[in-house]
Amino acid sequence: MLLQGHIQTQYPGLINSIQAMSTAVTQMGIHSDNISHFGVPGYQRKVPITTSFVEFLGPNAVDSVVSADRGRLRNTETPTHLALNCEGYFQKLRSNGTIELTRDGRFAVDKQGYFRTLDGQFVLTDAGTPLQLPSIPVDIKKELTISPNGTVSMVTGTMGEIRAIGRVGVVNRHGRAITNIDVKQGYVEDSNVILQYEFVNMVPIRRQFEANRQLFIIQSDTLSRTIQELGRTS
Amino acid sequence: MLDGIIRMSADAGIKQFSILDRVSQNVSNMNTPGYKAKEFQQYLMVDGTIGGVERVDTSQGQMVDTGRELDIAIKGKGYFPLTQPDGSIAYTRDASFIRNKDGFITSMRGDILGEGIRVPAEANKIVVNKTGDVTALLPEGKEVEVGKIGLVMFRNPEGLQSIGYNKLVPTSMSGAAEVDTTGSTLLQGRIEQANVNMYLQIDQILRLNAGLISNLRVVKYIDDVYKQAANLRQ
Repeated sequence: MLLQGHIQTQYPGLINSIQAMSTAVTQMGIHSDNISHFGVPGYQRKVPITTSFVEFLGPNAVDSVVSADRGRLRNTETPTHLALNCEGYFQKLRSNGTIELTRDGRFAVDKQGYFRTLDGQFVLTDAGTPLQLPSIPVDIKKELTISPNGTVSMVTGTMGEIRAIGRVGVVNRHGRAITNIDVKQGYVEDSNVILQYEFVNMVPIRRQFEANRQLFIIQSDTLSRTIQELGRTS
Repeated sequence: MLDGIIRMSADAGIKQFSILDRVSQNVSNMNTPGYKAKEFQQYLMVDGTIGGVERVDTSQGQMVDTGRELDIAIKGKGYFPLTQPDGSIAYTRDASFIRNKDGFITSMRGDILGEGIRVPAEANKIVVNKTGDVTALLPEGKEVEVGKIGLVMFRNPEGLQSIGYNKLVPTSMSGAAEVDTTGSTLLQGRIEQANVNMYLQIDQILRLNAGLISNLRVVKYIDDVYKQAANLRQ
């Protein structure tokens, strides 16, 4: 800012401090999001990324990438629960036809034999069709097997012959099929959020926020003193 | 932005309390015959918020010997049909029955088993075989067949809706009641205990504790930052 009499003030400094505070808040938001989703199986933690253009772009320069670390696998002894012991995602088909990706493999079989996700969507096979069992199993624990390569097979008929039904589709985040996969039946993958990691990471962000706040106050005080001093006429 | 973060965390906290709700229901029903454990499962929604759904574990509970002749436990996937006093039908796996003043076999709350099985008043003993045929033994060593307990099954028992007092009614999710073809058998003199797994409940509580405390901690943390941001003058 140029005051009359050509005195340059630290006006851009104020803006910079505000932007830095906004950036810190955005980063804090990402960590807080991770902490909120700690108990959600299949959730992948987000890691905030700041570019060196922060001073030009402001808080928009903060982005997040999804961490592909694997969460811990927990045994649930439910035969329709699947966990991916590899990278990749299951596909679910929404009723409006869109496909979403998820690592949350807590499926259930509905009354028509369709595999459904917790929010009631169909689970897709590698052929792109909803995964459906030919009949309702009597003892699902004994009759349903899902092998590590994703092949779903079921004991059918009275003779106990095993019939392959299809293969659970696993894709990468761009929607391309992954062939060498490791599906674990009866397991659930917990979120890959590490609580202490999130809290520890929030400390420097908090300090960064406070430092910038102090700087803002100093600059603001200086500016107001300057104006007052210069404004004095007598 | 800051209030957005606080709201997200608060929302997640409220969802987490639903887990506590189900765990306490399960623990208080540890000794209710035929009770099926409930679990509140959180999942990630498309917009990044947390959704939740209640799941019911329909697996078989453990059998306990009681020696009472009208404790008839089901081994398998079947359900007892009950005619309620208002004439409507409900289903149960609670296997403790009594004889009412008219000689009918009823549940503890007076719902008639099946379409009515009437035991003669002079009968010394009631015998129920595996397939549900009820025979009354009369004083002079005579045997009378008094009826048959017909079990029903549901294609998706998880979809049944609880109406209290351990009774269930079908919904569009569960499918209509069908004659049981899964080979469920009846065991006289036993009751099926609740299938609540105590270790699982404790595991859930511990998990919840970690998630909830961190969540509330974040709210406090962000709130401090909020205060600082709002008081930029000091």
